[in-house]
Amino acid sequence: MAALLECRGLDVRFSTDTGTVAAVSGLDFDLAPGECLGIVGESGSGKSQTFLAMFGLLAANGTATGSVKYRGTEILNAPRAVLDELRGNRLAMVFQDALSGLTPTMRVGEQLAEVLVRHQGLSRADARARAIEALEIVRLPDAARRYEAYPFELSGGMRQRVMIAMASLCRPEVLVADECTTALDVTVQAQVLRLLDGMKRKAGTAIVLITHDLGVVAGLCDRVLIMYGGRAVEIGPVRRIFREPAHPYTRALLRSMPSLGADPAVDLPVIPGQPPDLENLPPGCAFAPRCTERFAPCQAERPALQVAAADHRSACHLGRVQ
Amino acid sequence: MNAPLLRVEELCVRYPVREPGLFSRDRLLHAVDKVSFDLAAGETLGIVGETGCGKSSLGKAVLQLVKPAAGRVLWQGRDLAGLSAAELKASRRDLQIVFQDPLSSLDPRQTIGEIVGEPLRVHEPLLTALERARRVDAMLERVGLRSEMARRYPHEFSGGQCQRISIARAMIAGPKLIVCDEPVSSLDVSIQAQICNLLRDLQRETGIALLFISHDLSIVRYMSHRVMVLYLGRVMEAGPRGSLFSAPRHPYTRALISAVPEPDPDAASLSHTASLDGELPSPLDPPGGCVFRTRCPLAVPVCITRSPPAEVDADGHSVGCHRWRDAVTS
Amino acid sequence: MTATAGSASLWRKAGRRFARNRAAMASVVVLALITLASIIVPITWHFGIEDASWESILTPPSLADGHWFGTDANGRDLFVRTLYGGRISLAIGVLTTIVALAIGVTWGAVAGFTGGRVDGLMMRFVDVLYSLPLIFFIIILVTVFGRNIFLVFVGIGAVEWLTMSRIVRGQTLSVKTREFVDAAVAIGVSRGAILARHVVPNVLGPVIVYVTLLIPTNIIVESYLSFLGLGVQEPLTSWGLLISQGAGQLEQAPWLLAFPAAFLAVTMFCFNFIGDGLRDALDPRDR
Repeated sequence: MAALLECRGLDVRFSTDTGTVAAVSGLDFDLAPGECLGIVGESGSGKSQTFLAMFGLLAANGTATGSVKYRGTEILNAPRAVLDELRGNRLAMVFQDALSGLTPTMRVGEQLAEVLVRHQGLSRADARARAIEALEIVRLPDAARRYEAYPFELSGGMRQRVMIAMASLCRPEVLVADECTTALDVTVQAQVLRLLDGMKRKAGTAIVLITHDLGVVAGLCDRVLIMYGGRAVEIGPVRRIFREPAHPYTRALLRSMPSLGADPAVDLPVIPGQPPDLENLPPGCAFAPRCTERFAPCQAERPALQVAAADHRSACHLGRVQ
Repeated sequence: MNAPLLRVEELCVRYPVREPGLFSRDRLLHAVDKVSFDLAAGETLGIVGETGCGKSSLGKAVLQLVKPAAGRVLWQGRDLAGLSAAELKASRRDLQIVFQDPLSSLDPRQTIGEIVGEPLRVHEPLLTALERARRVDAMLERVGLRSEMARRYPHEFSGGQCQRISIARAMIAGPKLIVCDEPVSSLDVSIQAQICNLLRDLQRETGIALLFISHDLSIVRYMSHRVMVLYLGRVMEAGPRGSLFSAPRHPYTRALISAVPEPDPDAASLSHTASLDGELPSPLDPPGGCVFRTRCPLAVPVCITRSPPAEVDADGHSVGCHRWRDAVTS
Repeated sequence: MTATAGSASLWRKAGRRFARNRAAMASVVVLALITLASIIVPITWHFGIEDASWESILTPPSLADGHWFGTDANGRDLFVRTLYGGRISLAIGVLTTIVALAIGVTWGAVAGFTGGRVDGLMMRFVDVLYSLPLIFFIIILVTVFGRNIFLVFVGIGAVEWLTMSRIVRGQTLSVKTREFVDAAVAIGVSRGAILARHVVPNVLGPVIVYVTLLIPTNIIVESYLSFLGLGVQEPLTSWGLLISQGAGQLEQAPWLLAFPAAFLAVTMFCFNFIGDGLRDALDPRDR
């Protein structure tokens, strides 16, 4: 099956007062129709910038190079007209901060209806009916009344559901959810994740779930891409990554998370040190300074992604030696 | 048994909320409602709950950063509200806090040395600048920073390092209790474990008590000896970590625990998490009877009419629910 | 964050950003030259400000006879009078701003930090003063106490601190909610020390920007007071007074208006460029 999204050699750079920040470097991945891909990384790993670049939403001092194709059409740095046609229609994005994604002075229902009027040419009345229906699908309580509400009158969970309703209005093929549950409480997070799961199963929407929470990934995703210092360090099926992680960073990340199943009397193994400085990335592996398994080549040479098993690749010198 | 280090009795925190309109009166938001607990030296009490459950207000009220509307905070047997300004200032040496936002809790115009040294300046004014600098350096090294960082400013540090600085400031004057208000929530996963372990190590070394406030159940379980679950400012359930997590009694606790996404693709399935639907009711207008009844899968008519009393067993595991026995067997 | 860059306070970083702003740095140089000239020239120049000369009344500017900017109707040298006027104008601008700064920062910080009823009372007082028009206020002062340069200081200073106090109060309210203030309370730092050590240093950024914009405002206010005959009096002079007199003789001697007006305009530009530069340098969004 042909990939929906094909990302090849994506580089994202930001020029700042003090130098150039390498936010994303040489990123390759595919997204198949209807799959859920988890993108996991810490702040500064480049996971959000990857998709902001694809959607043409980089900050003014950012540049993206490489290639991102949607069904064979180049969308990276594409003209606005092309992006406007795709964004919100075929490709949708939901952000962590749902409040800033909604216009504060407009009723939420009208914001939804507006999308339908613009992208699908519906009449006002039809758009209103469809918008209320969409709000009901995301289980916004009392949807018809909430249609008239302003964003500030809704709770964080309700706003996030409105954002998802808005993103799903035009039945997009790809929904990118950028830390969309990070600001929410666990019970509300579970509601939102169930909603995303429903979109995947019922509407066949491909979902990209950007998160730092491996727990969220485990419940929802088919495949996972782990990023560190702007590069992919490991990519593969979710079960395989959790059962047999090939990269030391993935292993350390899994170990360092407190879980409800672990023995709390045992100290958590930690990843020492700090996340990398993207202005001064080391010449070798970005994780080498914090890696407990590093050896000579790690500091000198940057490891490339290599096949660890079918569909499972990892960027570590250790794998090559073994 | 000795008197506990900290005893909180029926603590209430209320905030006036201005209603729109010229002649309307202020309404009271009951952020914390009749919360009681004891905390012993060397012990960690975890406080969990969702946004708006009053856990931060509780932490601040314990430190008298917000004035409790009712109830008492007994620090080593003495009511903090009854102390004179000088006595309260002296007690503050024992009572410290670490906040969630690492950068916002450090004054951007001061150096790390000034920030960490401030408690010494207040509580040991006779110390010379040199001795103070030496203590600051030693403390920075203890929390895993380099002493030459004392001359730098907060904006030059990452979130995890800022949190270490906050902990150094809280620890330097030798406190007996630290209120940790979501201390790792804004940190990266790999850094969360570092900070949690640092707090555990410091507790083992110095025997400080911790009031560990978080919305993250896994982290609370890792950090705490006892856990208290809050909902709309009221205690739903409290007890030893072991029994609270392995045999939760309150339907709310059970819903919270089942909503935690487990990092295990086989165990974690979204479909069979016990769902908790609906929205948090407004704390300005909490439901009568049991406050959780509007979202509770087990609610029956008595939950509307009567607020459930706390039932405590021999292990100190308490629960406030009319139907908790049904919940446990169901 | 490299080792060579070393450690820098936010102030020093802002200073570095400011130094890279060419318009602002050029303005600093020009302003420094005007200030120095207005201090030194009236002392050293070969004409005094009151030296009238019957031989040279309303002579146009010329380098040859030493009257670079020409002379006025009394035969006084305009060059020295313009710079002397600059001395008065700048002094009024700076001194009134210092008065406004002192009252405004104290008032605003105390009101914002104390909050509650005290804040309400203090800010209502500000509102009441706001509703008095400046000119009206000064006319009352002048009619009661007579014309006096000190009244100009008092009048302008007493009115211009109002905006300053509002800015400081607003900033204080936002700084007060930051957690480092709670942290300081938890440590046991006294309220006065928190205000002085933690709050005021953190509200200074916008205050400094406002100061650079308030100085030219106050110079202009003095100018139009003098233009209306309510400000500085002969034989003293200021840019406003010179412009007022020059405007009356625009047709016979346009230089009488042109030179003081040019100095005033250049000074205004400089302060505004510096203010913009400082605002950009101190803007926390651009860290």
